[in-house]
Amino acid sequence: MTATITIDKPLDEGVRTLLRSMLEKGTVRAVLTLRRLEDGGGVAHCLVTDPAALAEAVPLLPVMPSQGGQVLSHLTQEEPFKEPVAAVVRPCEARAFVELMKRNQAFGDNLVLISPECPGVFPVQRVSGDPMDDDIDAYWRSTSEGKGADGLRPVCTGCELFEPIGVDMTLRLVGRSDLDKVLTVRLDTQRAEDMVKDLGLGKAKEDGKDPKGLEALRSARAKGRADLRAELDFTGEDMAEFSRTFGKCISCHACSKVCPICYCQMCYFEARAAAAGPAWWRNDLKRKGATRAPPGTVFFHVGRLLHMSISCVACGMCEDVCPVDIPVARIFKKVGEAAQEVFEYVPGRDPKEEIPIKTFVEDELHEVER
Amino acid sequence: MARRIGFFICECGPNIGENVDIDAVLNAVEDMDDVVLAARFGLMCSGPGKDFLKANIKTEKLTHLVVAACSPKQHELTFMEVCEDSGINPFLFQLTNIREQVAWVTKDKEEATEKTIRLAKAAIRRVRYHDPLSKTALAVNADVLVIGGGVAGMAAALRLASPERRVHLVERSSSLGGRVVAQGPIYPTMASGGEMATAMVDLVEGNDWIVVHRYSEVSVVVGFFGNFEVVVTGELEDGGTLETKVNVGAGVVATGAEVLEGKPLEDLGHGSIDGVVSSAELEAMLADGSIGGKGGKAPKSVAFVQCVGRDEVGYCSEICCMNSAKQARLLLEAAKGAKVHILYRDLCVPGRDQQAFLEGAVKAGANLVRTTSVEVGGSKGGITVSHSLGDGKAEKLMVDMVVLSPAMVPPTGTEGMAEMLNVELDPSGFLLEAHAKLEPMAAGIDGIYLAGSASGPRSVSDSIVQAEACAGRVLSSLIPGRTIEPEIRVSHILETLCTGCQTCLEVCCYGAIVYDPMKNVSHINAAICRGCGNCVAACPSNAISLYHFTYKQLYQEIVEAIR
Repeated sequence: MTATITIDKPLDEGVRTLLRSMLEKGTVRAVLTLRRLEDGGGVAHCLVTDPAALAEAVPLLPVMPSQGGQVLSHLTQEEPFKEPVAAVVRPCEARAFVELMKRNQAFGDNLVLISPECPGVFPVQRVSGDPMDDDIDAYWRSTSEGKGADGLRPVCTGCELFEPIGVDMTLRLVGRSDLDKVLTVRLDTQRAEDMVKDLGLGKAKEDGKDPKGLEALRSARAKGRADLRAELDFTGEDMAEFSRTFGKCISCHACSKVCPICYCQMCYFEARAAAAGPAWWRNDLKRKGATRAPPGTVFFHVGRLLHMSISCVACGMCEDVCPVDIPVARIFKKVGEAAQEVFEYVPGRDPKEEIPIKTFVEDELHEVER
Repeated sequence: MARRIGFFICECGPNIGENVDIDAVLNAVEDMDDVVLAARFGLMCSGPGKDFLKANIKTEKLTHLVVAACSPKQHELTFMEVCEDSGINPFLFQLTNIREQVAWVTKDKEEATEKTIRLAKAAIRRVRYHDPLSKTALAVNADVLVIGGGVAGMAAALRLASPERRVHLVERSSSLGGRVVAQGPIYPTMASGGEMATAMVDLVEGNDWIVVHRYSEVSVVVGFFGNFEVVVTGELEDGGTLETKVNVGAGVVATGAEVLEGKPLEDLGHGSIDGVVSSAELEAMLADGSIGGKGGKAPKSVAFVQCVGRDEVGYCSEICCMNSAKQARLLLEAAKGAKVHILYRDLCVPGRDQQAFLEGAVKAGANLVRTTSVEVGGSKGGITVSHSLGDGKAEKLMVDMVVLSPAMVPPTGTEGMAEMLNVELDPSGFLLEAHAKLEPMAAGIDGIYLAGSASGPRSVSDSIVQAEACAGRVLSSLIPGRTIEPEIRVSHILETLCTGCQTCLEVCCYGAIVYDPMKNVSHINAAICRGCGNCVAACPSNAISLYHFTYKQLYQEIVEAIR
């Protein structure tokens, strides 16, 4: 039903070929992709207009140095792209971008999203230094067999939404034995088909049958999700548990800085007068005789859970950057999914689907009444 | 200046006095910070009670006042006035409800006392963080917009128009008079509806203070009670449109109702069987003499079928039983000796005159038959009407004419009207009143009123009553030269924190928030905001706060209440 093209180069090289021809033929004006920085400065999202500069692009490198949805929001918050731009982002990054569009923090006009069936990413600490070559070889071997690789971000191992939703092109990777020879690209929209027609990359064909490995990874991820939940020592049901879990937080707020959904210009918890003023600690002192200074450490996380867990895409950025090893992403994934289930809401599924706070229904949720 | 808080507890006669240990409450709060006086009184809202408050404010030089008494709905204003009279800003006052929320509902006296102490302490704690707020005054625009030129709209316009109050009457069609202008005699007086409506049209057209906008619809309404900005879009003869801007202080919606058409009538042979007509068509035939007039035909037997479409719309249209009784009487006069059957499901004859009127129709020869279902078929000798009488019995009538009484339905465009005015719709699609019993003439928005069938099918007399009620509400509150005091406990946005996500726009029930794309922030129009707090709760950036219900005030109150 859906058209597919194959490019006779594998993985990163295949994607580079696709992006390069789009730039050269003028199909898009720029591309956004992960790319190695000059002089060994690590890997970062880069906006590229010069086809030659794509030589350093590593679109499929299994890391997420910053959340692509957040990056695209920063680029398009003021105004939409005026000319077509292609962006290679992972499915959770694309879904975060959709959530940001719903909140008027991004424009999707002229944006062509290209997204892989995502085998997961390694923790962000591995971006610089060690080139990870052996691990990456093993990663692609597992992917072609439809197995999860070792050493991924914990939430990636329980991600059931690893197949892109609502993108223009899907890079078919999972379970494909020819992964080291060709890149298979499914064209999910009419726009994608029209663009690829003129690129000289061969004629689009009907999409073949899904490889067995894809189904295998689906099952593995479902089991992974159940395992994550079972292993996580957090129910969200009692205050002592919150204190125990988030008590070691050093309030660096890095989790909210890298979170695509935490889009406030200034977080309430950064405003000292509001979140740490005398109104807070005087009462605590009167009541308990001692209070953590400044107060609000645990409340920060409760506030974040309240505000953004409904839109949490479980990308795992927060947990990667936590310097004191709080399993932030696993907690947010669990709590987020519980909230999302209540509203039958899947963040990033559809730009037209309103966020639940905007769809107040008077007669609902009687089960939470006492 | 140091705070000097006075705490007063009202016994409310025996209501609070007998169910709460008042002395224990006074003991519990008198040592709180800044409390300089804790006292009790029998009935604080009475003249002596207010004098007691005023005397104590003066002698103790109080700066803040807390009263533990009844619901704020009942006496918050009373005590705020006491504050104003005594030179205290009325917002440095807090009323805590220990009657409805404690004395009346908590039976155990010890428990009630404990609860009262918590509420009293919470209110005292809260008032320490109150900010004085100053009221603002706006000059009112006394002019009124009336939408719809039927009898309801005309009655409202005629009552409202005066040298000091211009009325803009907007009518969609070419002429005033609405549905009633096409009516012959109307029940119960059998005076001519057409003549009555025409007389009203003459009065409206002769009134210098009513501006009639024909071929026109209201396309924009923004603003608030006392100051609405309206755009009236008129259709020009050359097919173009003309936009007229008018400013008014209030609006009366008198858009009436339409008659149901389509399937429910077609199922009963309307449009396919000769002699099956709607009640409106019969009205026209009676008026132009094609029945009973010179050369007019006179049917020998007629069946009225009531409640056509009632199941589909889900309500009783209220006026059709009486209308058929009236038409039966007219038919029996016009066609002497005719057999007239009225097939009804339930009779709707409320009020003083209606039953007698119906009995008059029966006396004149109408045959009332209760039925559960009706089928109409054409045949050679006339029309067959088969209907069941309940209990499994059925009856077949042969008639020359069938008159269908269809339901009344909201006029086209009601949904758009509701959205424009921010008025809710009821499930059947009519405009919803603020309160079905207490405020049937008011919409949920201040300054917008509903007259006639706009909020559901109504008789002429009920429509006039409602129009007069709307006029009464306007005349008593929108007085030329006066100022209005908009709510000042409203929300405001701190621009530096606003991210421009516009979630607040979606949750605002009053259309009080606009987005400024240049600055990428939202703004609240304080004059439209009603202070509900929806936006405050929805704002992820904590950029919105509500005067008099700040986070700090609520936090302090809660801390004390749950200590």
